[in-house]
Amino acid sequence: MDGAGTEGGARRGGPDVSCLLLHALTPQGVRLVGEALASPTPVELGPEHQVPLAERDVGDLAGMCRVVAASGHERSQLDGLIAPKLHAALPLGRDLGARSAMWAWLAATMLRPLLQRRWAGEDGAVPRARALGPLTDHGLARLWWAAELTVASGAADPYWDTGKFAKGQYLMDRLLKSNLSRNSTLLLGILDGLGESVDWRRINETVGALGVIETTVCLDALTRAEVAGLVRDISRGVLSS
Amino acid sequence: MKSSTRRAVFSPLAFGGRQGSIRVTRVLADGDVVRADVALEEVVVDAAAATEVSLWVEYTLPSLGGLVPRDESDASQLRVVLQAHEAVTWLRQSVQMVVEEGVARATLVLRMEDVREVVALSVVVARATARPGGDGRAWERGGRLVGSQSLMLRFRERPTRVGSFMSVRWQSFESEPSLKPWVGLPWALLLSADPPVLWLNTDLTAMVHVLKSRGTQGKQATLREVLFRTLATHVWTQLFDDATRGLDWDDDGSVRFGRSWHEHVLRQVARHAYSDRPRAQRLPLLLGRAQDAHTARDPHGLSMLAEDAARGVAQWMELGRRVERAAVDLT
Repeated sequence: MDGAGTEGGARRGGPDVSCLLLHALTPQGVRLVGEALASPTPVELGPEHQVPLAERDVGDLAGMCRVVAASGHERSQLDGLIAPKLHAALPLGRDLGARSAMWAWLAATMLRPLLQRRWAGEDGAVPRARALGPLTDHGLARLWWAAELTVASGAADPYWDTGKFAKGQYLMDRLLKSNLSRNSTLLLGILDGLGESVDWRRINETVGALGVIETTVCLDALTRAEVAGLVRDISRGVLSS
Repeated sequence: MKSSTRRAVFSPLAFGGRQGSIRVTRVLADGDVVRADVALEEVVVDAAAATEVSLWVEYTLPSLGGLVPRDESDASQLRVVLQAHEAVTWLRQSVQMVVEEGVARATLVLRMEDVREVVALSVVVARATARPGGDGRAWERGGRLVGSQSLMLRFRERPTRVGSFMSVRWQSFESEPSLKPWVGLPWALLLSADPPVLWLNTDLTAMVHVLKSRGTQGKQATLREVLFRTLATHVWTQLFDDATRGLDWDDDGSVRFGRSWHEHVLRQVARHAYSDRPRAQRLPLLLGRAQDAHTARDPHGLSMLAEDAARGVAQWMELGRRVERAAVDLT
């Protein structure tokens, strides 16, 4: 299946970069993949199951899958390992990154091993939402977006903040489902303000309170440090209540 | 909460200098100045194919009298933020604007790979500092004072400069002997010249008046748009026909274009005829079909190619929408 998306796979830009024709699953493709989620073998996609989207130079996706498969991380700790690698290997832009049918196609083809390693249950089945779900639930899309929204281009470690975002599954999922996370400055301020906390109740109530406050305070007008201060303030109130 | 603060929403009259209005004053696409059509609540920019677009945006601050306490209406106590938002691509970008003499200005840079269809621009005027003695979030730094409605930003592909390979000339057909066969017609495209020449007939004075008119609203503007787009459709399909007839192939299969501008025309038409294909595949697909037709492997190939081209050009010119709009506006 790996070869399915490497049409015209002439290498460009270096030994670990290749040109990939990205596809999106059609409704028939979604149906086919959905029916085969519990199957240990990948499905064979025909022309009616996928449509071409765009060409991109991508990193070594197969190599990334091998590295993740061989890592000794617990499944819950894999997010922090996968997110930076996935984002670095897939330079997509937000238009493509926001196409859930493309993520469904990647999850059914060349990135299937990644999804299996992170989400397959004891019976080998991957939950439907993690393979075919919306961006906020999809097992690969949520990690790519976590990195996209926190990456600091040009920094010595561009994915330093991604590591903080990926430290808790609830933290990532709760924030990705909030419109607040779409503004990187705001998201980073929230992460700073929450600090080391991964307590789901505290995260949930703080993010909920921020959403209400946003109707009165223009959070986009604040700096990262100011947002962090506001979050700490809200968070203290949450704790004391 | 006891407060002298009220919030107000102002209409973003894109073309006006009125208070509370958002204006896009200049647009660069990959460093080149591009055209931006401004209409009420919408700006259409010729930049869909660009990598990066920079927009110079202005916002005339409304009078804050009666909205905030007098000692807070000074620009130094305000934070004016320009926001760009497109829900479908999770785009939420903000830039702090610089205020000078009642006008806030900022340059917004958008990566076009982060944009799909429509970006909403809006401005928020917020408190720069917390009000001393204030109680509650509304008094704090960032407290919203004034908000604008959204100005919608749409992108379309930058039109090709036909002047680079085709000459456009205004001429009285009556007084030019070589154009006698075309007398009474609105235009004449002469492909025998190199580069081709598009003659526009100045004898049709009412038509010339419409074609040379400016303005973006009203019946004249509607008619001008339909005329231009009909003319452009005719020109591009003619150029395409000439370019396909000029194609030839070497023994090793490499293509040769009949005239220097043919490749450019075929590339432009392929872009729109096969817009559902990845960009790099469009011209090769068109050339492959043309080659099959030329070598008689596909006897209907040239007809199908012409159909694809006519459809692609008509879609490019948005003929359906423009004609429908003219039918509504002019009847």
